[in-house]
Amino acid sequence: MSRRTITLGITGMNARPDNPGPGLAVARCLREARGLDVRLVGLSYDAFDPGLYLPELCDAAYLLPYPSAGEEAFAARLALLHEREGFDVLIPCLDAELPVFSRLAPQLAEWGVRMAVPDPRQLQMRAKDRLQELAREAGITVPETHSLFREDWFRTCAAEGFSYPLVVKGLFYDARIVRTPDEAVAAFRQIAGDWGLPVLAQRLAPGEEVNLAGLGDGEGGLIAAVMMKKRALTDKGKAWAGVTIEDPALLSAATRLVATTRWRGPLEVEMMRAPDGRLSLIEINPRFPAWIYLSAGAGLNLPEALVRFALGQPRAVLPPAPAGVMFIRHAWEAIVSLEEFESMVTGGGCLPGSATKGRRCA
Amino acid sequence: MTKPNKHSIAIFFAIDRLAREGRLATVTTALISEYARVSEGVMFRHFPSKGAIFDAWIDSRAGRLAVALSGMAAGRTGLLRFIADQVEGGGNLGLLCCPPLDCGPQRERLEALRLDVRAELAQRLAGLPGLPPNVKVETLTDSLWQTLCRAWKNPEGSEARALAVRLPWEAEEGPKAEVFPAAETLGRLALSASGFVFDPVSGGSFTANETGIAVLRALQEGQAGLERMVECLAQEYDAPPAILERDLMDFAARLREVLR
Repeated sequence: MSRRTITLGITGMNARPDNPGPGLAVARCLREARGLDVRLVGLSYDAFDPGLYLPELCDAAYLLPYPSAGEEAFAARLALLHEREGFDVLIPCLDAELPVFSRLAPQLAEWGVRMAVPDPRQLQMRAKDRLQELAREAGITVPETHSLFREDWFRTCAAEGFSYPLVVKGLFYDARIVRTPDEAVAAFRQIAGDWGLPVLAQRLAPGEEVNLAGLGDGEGGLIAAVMMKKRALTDKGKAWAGVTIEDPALLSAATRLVATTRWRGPLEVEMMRAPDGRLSLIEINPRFPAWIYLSAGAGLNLPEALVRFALGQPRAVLPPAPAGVMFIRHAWEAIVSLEEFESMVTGGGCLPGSATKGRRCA
Repeated sequence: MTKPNKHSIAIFFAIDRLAREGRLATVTTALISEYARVSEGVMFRHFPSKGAIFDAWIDSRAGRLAVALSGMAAGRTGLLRFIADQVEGGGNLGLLCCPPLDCGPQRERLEALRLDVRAELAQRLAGLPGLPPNVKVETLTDSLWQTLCRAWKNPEGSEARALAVRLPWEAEEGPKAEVFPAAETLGRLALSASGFVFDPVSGGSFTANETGIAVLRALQEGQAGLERMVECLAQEYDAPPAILERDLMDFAARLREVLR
């Protein structure tokens, strides 16, 4: 009996070397998933996203309108692509699009498209400006954070006991360590311009960052988890190399967070381990991280577990991945034919590798 | 000497940061300008060349160091206070611990300055009571210097904190078993015959020589206390027990640092 091919739509196919999106890594995991026969469709927002042109990762690729174009336009484009490709499962991989996908989940379910994503309430619970409440509820320490609408706070924060250096963060993305009020104000303006208000100011938690990627079952359980310690960073503080770890305290904290939120779908928990061993929560990202291929490398393929979960296949709680598996990221160039690029820019989609394989672009 | 103003102060702080990041050996004026947030044009209004910038930085930090050295109170307490101040301030230690500069004259100035400071520290140490027997003051000075440089690189680390209360060769208060990290921590380490050591909880790894691996294995087996280990090592190595104990203490300090 032949297995049914499962069509998966994956977003986040951007791959700037210093800060890649998770989509390529998710696609790579799924390409290597044993027991799943998959057709991978890359979805992206920019014709320069390289994942769109990699035939080894995507069988087809399309552009989406930015969520800021409005939910109607976004849903209409998804409907068109679903009609063409027949998605079984969609895997959103970018923070900024998660609220839209979360709100569209019931509509997508009516079309027969499955997703494993947190609902809007869960997304709100892990929002950066709400993290302190969630951490308190889960019994986890979080560095004191202020939501700011005015930059002059940085000149007077010393009176509130806030000392430099501190971290200035965007509501969706970006975090910068600043050492003086001038640096802080410059960061505030830049981040406010990119990501809007409020901008967050957080006490700098000393120590080393540890991360956990996991999958919540929506009922309070953590289906599987892989823990990682960054061993080399890009200029933006993203992992350039890392190694799996077994950190019982990190696993316990993530388990409590998943239980408290009844998290459904993938997540990344970022925590700082202070020199005295205490953990404090920095962020919860509502999607897999860009280093998720490490999970497949460590024998615990989380994207595969996600697809099986979304399809409603029987599941068991899996043991954490073993410690001591390393990754070192690298960047390389994807050769793109002008025909493929033209097809993407003018038609919004293409079949990766079509020029070399004699296939026609979409 | 250029009189410090807000720009030169920003430039000196930038060089302190670059020194701690280990980037002084290949630093460019563009990078100093970026770190200092002072344009290169303004920078060159104050200093005619990169060498002049380094000269002014050395003058500034050496001046502060000289004041701290001359004002150091007598005895062990005074020395510890001086060390704690330098670790906390950081900038002066950059002068003593940064990698060689790529400007010849300034590199030579730094080397001469370091010799002077080293001699001053050795003199202070020689006057202290209760130093380990059979250990030359030069060796202790070297140990202090190395520890200072590690503390400068990692001012939040346990080694830096420990330097505020005791000299590197002094044991922590309490039972000697606590010199090494907790048995639970040591027990989880993966040791390789090649000398590679991996901590599965922190994800950290480091290398140790054959002796270090043997000491770690003995600690994992719970068979050897510090004194017993010194005895075992004394049978294998032609070294006085005091030296072996000091080396073990130093190894323990490094272990505490990497196995936090």
